[in-house]
Amino acid sequence: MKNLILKLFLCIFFIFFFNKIIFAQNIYVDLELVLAVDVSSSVDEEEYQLQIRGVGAAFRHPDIIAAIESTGGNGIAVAMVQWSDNEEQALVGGWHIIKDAADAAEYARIIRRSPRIIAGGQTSIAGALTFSIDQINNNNIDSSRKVIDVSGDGRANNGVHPMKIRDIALDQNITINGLVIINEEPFLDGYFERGVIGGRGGFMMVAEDYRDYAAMILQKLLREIGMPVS
Amino acid sequence: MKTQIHKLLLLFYLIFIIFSNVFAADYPYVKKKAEILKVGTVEEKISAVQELGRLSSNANFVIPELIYSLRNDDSHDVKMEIIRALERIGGQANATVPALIEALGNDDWQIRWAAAGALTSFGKKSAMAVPELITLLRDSNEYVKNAAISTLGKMGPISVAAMMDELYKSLDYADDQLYVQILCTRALGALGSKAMIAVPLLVENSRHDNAIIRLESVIALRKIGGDDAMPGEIGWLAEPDEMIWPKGSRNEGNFLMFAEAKQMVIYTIVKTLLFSISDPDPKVSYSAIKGLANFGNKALPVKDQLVNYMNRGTPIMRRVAIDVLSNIGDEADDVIPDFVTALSDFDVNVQWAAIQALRIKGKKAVPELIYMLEYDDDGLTGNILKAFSEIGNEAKGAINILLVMLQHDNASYRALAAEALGEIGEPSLLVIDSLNNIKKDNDNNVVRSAEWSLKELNRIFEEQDTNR
Repeated sequence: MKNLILKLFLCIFFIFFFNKIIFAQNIYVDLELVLAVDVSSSVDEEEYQLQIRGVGAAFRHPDIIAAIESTGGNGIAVAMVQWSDNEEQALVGGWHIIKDAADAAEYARIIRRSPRIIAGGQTSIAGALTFSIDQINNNNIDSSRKVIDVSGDGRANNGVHPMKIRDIALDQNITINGLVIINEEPFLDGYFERGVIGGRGGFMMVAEDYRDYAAMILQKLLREIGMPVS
Repeated sequence: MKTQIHKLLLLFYLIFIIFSNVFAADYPYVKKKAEILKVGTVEEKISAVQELGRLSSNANFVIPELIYSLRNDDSHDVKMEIIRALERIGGQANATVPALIEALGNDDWQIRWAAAGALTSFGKKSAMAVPELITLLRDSNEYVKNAAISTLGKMGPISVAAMMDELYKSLDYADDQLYVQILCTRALGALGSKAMIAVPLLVENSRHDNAIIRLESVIALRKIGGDDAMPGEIGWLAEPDEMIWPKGSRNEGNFLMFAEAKQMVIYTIVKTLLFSISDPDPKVSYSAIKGLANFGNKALPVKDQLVNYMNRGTPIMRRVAIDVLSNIGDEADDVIPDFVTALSDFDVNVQWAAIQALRIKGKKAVPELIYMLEYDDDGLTGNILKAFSEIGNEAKGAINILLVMLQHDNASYRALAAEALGEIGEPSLLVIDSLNNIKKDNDNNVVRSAEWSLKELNRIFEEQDTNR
């Protein structure tokens, strides 16, 4: 009887142990990409719409789909983060694995319909980066390339300097790319170049205003999903 | 029961004591942190300064200690952290601003760069730094120059006159005069309506011999004219410098005189932009067209010219012409067929601009889209279906043709039609049945699109049901 109880106990233990391993096993993709979108007070509703509709349109573009399909079958994992001040960040609709046109169209629909979760606030790029790093580290997804794609139209006026968090990201092999909208601050590109972007193949693109956002995010995603260009 | 309440109260009291001791930014705590600046290691000093910065205005009374260390500490890193802390504390401008000005002359470019950036926090109180910041525009380091101009561009009216002075100088005044003028013009643009007094000079420069000056002037003008902040608040009575550049307010109606003045400035700017469209330099011309997008129907006089650019310009010109035309309003409704034609442009960004222009037109664009959809032109159909999705509920008139498109041979059109039905959001039985039918489609994209739309329509139906 004692033996039976012991065997039963061992059996339960092994099932539990292996289950843990199975469930803890991460999904492998070619690229983990966080699209960190600025929703601070400087971004009005129309500008917000231009951003999310621009991202949605990009994921329908045949070149983007071709780039995703050529990643080797594993696809890419994408998540959108809305951010404003140091306390205000939100993951929009969770992580999505995109392997083909149908996945991309599904993601485009989700993004286009995503509501503005954060109404406004100051600008904390450091907060956005910290939150995005956490999302990458806790998504049960593995990849050889991890990228945070942060877009914004202003310098940080809240939280620590983004440079500090940028360095933390780089230590964890996470690349930070920037999409700078210079409609309000004409010298913002220099600030991003110096204190925000970095890592393997890290780069930055500049949009004159939100009307240019869709064109720029398309180019940027193409470069990010394809091999990094240094 | 009583004992439990007592225990609970005791626990709360203990937590309160611990938290108030640990986190309180009281005088001894802040002073203790400041003491570290005298005796601590570099790491300890950095940590203490960071903490003081985090305390913000609560650390106001240790500013003299911070300034002393900024002047005398040997460590570069400590000095950098002190500048950042002073920026965050933002108090005692009478002492901090001179100390930061002193740092602008430091041999180390990073110190100059950080100090120039930190002055942004002091707004008008940093007025005395304007001459030094202007000097820094000629600094050997690019980052320092950018930080200086960025601060000047955020200071408000106090920096305008100094920057205008630089624009009055001839280009051979110094080797880098062109560069300095570019920076100053950009900074004037960044100031928006606060730089209104510079408009006549910028208008003059928009006809300068040098194409770069013309370009930067046009960009600055469109930023000044496109600034939403309307003059009007009474604040200027108390602050003499605001008499020239009144405090921003969206409350247009209250002070008609200022509103009229602003309208006159906008009229001048638009006139300049309209003139610059014909500039021989394509970049200036592009920038002038792009600027018109901020002024709605004021671009009407050049409507035909814009249509011409839309049909025959470079891709970037075509895109920006569509942006401007879509913002003109009802007076440009006759351009809708041109927008629909632009859906078949070979440049994807022009196509997207046309889709967005049709979204702005909404219901008015639907008949033309339906008409063109009947041609079943491969260059147009996909984007017409995307346009219906973007227009959303106002595209109700397209439901019948979308139901027909669900049967199209091309799977991607079926998927887009299904999606458009979900975006239009009319949960009629016919639509739901049709979408349910294509759930058996061979194409995964079509099935998923139909499922998404059905989910969307179901949600809308339930909402309508609840409201009934």
